[in-house]
Amino acid sequence: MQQQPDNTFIYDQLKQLLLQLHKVDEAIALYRQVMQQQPSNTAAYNDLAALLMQQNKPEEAIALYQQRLQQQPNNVSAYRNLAMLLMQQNKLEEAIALYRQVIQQQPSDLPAYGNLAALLVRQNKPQDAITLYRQGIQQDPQNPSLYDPLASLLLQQNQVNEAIALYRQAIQQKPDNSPFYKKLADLLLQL
Amino acid sequence: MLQRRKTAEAIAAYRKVIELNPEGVEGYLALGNALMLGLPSESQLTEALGLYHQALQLEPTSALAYTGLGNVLRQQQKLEDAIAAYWQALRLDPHSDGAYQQLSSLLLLLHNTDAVIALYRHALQQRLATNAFFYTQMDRFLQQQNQLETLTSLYREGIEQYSAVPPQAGKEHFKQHFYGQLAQLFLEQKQPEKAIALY
Repeated sequence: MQQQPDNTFIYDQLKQLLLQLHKVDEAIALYRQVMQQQPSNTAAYNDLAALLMQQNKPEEAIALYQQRLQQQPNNVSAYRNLAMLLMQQNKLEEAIALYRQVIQQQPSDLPAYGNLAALLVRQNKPQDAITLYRQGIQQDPQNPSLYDPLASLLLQQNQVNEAIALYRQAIQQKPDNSPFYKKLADLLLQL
Repeated sequence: MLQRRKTAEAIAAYRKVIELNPEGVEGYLALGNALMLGLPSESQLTEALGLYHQALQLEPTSALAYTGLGNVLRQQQKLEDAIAAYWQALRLDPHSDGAYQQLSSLLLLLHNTDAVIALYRHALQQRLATNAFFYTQMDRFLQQQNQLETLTSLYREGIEQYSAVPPQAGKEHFKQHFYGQLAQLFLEQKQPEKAIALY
């Protein structure tokens, strides 16, 4: 390593060996060394954060991503990962603010719409969540990922007709998606 | 009118499910069940029968398909075949609430006392009825048939079966049902001391 400080293969092997030997602190130190030498190595950040979470050190994992964002304020993936960590730690307001930033920077990031909407539901703001899901769907109507959670939220709000209309819209966009037909039919028979 | 239009749209959507996913059993079952809603025509019964058979070809152990088959056969007045289909559903899935309900209502309609008793015992052994009304209907019938000894033993069996269920399972009311029924039976037989002893 001293001879080839940029050789990621050697680092990876050593990290794996240290983890196999349960030398977690040394592995963490090695990650930090990698990150200093290769600030653009995103995988190292994510691996270290995951390791810190495994070690039940969420605050350190959060600090890691906050530091990353100071260095790279436009790093959407760091925003997303930090938001996920904050959500896991029940820091909902902070996670919501970050997801809003993710969406602002990358309006086509549908998982961010989904996660933010789920947080808004947890904050008892179902109408805001519904609006957000609809905005996400508008961004990419052919992406099937937001239709089901939105329909499920509409049903929780007793908005059965809206859920039916949503599945009709989903079928127009994705006429080959068999589960959408099934869900539409099930809802029609519920009425 | 609106309801009919919605059912027609649902049926069309289920047909599309089968078209897009012909290997999936759920489309056949759902379409079969949709065709059976309301008062199905002869052609709808025939189509539903075919759909349940297709479902069974894909999944020979589908209790839902056998229950559906039982429903069609019942509508076609093939009552013995319907009973056999419901029993097959129960053998494949002792938790099949739909098969219990359908089979009990058919057996009660046919006044088939032995079969009612067999189903009652089966339900007790599985402890799966979702509400006491299932037993109440059969209690009434067996009382009308003067099957008092059988009822006494069924109630005792019910108390025993449901006493073995942990309280958190939320089935306490079944045990109370059987205690209440047994006590009532003793009172009607002018044996109040037995009823008191129960409590």
